[in-house]
Amino acid sequence: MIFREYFRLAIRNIKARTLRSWLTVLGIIVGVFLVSGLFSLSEGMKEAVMRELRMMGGDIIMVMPGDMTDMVTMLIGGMDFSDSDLRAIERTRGVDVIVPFTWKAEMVRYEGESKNILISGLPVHEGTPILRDDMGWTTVEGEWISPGRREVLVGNLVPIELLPGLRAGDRIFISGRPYDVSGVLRSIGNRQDDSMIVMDLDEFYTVTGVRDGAQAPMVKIGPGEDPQDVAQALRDNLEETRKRRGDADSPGFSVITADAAYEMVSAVIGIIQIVVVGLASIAIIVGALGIMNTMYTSVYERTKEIGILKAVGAKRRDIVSVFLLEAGMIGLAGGIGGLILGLGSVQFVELYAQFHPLFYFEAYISVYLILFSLFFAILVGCLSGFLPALRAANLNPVDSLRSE
Amino acid sequence: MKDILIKTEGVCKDYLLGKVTLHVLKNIDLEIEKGSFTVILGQSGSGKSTLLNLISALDVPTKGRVFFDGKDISSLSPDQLADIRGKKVGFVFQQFNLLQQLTAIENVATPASFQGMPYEKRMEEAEKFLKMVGLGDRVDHRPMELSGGEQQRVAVARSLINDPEVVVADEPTGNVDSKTGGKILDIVKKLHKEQGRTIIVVTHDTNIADLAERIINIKDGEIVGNNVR
Repeated sequence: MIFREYFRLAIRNIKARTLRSWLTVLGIIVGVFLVSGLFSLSEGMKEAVMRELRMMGGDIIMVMPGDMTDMVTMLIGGMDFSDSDLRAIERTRGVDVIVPFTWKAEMVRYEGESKNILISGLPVHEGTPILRDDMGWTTVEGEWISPGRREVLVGNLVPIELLPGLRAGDRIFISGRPYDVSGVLRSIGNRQDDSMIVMDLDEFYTVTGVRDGAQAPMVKIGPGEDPQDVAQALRDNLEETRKRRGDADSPGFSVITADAAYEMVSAVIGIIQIVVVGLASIAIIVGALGIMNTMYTSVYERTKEIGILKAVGAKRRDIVSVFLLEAGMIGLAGGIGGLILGLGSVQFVELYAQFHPLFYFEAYISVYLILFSLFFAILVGCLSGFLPALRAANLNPVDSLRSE
Repeated sequence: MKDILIKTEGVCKDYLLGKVTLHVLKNIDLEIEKGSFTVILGQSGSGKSTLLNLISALDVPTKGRVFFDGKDISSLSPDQLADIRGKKVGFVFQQFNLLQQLTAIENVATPASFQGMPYEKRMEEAEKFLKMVGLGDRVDHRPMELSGGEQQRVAVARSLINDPEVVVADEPTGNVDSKTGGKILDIVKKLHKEQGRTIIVVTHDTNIADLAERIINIKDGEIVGNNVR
């Protein structure tokens, strides 16, 4: 094969201009580092979020205030479901259990320190099994709330950031009323939930002065029921109730099945991923321009060499091959370097996450990602080397031999 | 009947220098026989190197026709010319023109690589030709590690690797001292005498001309003498 000499020529040419070659390689390293690193990072985060969502069983339906197409109202929506709404939900065919989730910020005191913390109320008796079995919540310390006792569960960020030193068994005061901390929850994955204090709904009504209603009722459907059918029935019932109440102006609501939530989040993260990786790709384009620049300079400097090769019988495709191989090798070197750097730093983030309770994260590293990155780097190298290679191939042998 | 390897008919070569057209070669007719030793003699600027480029398939004429081994090569594509050069022409240049990144043996083997000769085979052949020019102990040296005379011998070995019909040399002794030049000419002579190869040497050195069977004198782009000795 001719390949061996091409290869040797390319290697030696790269070596002959060490600094310039390394700088060119560095351009690609930065690009591949950003693309592979950010892709791995975003993919890992997507996986983490999806894992949380998957914990939510398929038989759970969330009813949320606001229109699903309007994320903002959905997330900041006020107390939107009245008692009659909740009764309508409860009456709906296929609904097994309803857990009216509701929350409000209250002053919480622990060992002389007071903080305004979000309190979440839910009926402990019906709610605990759903949270534990369907949503995958667990405690890292202590126990779940025992019904009838003045106990609370705290999110895992509460003892770390809000009330430092708080442990299961300690006593805190919410709006002046004493409560025992029965346990600390494992991280749920989002900051808001992890910074919350959970208590029984009746206690919640007492402490906050809120009388009825809920912000986000959660429904568990009966065995054998189809989530889509129940969701539709819920929608119909709620609308019907509101119409009868003459409350047509009340803001919209969304009924979200586990599948729909999964799809929605997946789509949002997908868009974020495209934007992030797209922006990072600009770095690769800059790197490609670097290769092109280096290769053009190389063609200019090696005009004589090209003339010699042509004189001894090299055809245009031979010359193109020599230069493409060189550009491809620069790309490959950049790809390897970028991957090592990119995946290395993602691994580092993962390591950091293992020791940090703030978030769960697992680096996404797959053979496909590695192969694709390397292939992509080589492709970028070859593409940017193509025009310079073509110029080299089209040089006139007589003129080339005459150059110095 | 004489066996003609290269023939030119009314060959002209013009170069455009800015707005001025330079008529470097004017109406050249010549024939070079197979197995002959021809010297093209002329002063610097006479057009002798340009003529060599045309008859060695490095370039095409502006006007007229060049036949190589009976085939008109005046209007071939760059790749077709490259094919003829690779298979049928061996080059020796004044500047040696070796690839600095490659060792002596790799330099010699390179032309064979473009003809698809397998790696082991071409390395074997390259070593054989390096031994023939007396550089059997220098195969792994880079051009920079060799003297001018040694580099030119590597170039001679390279010119032979594809077993060409003709070896063309452009001032082969122009960049070496006279003693080394003598050695190189001895090798070239041997190629002609012992192997019966067609040799064309371009030079301004009349001493080299003494070796030739035919001397073509060229002046101002025209043949002013074509003598068989």
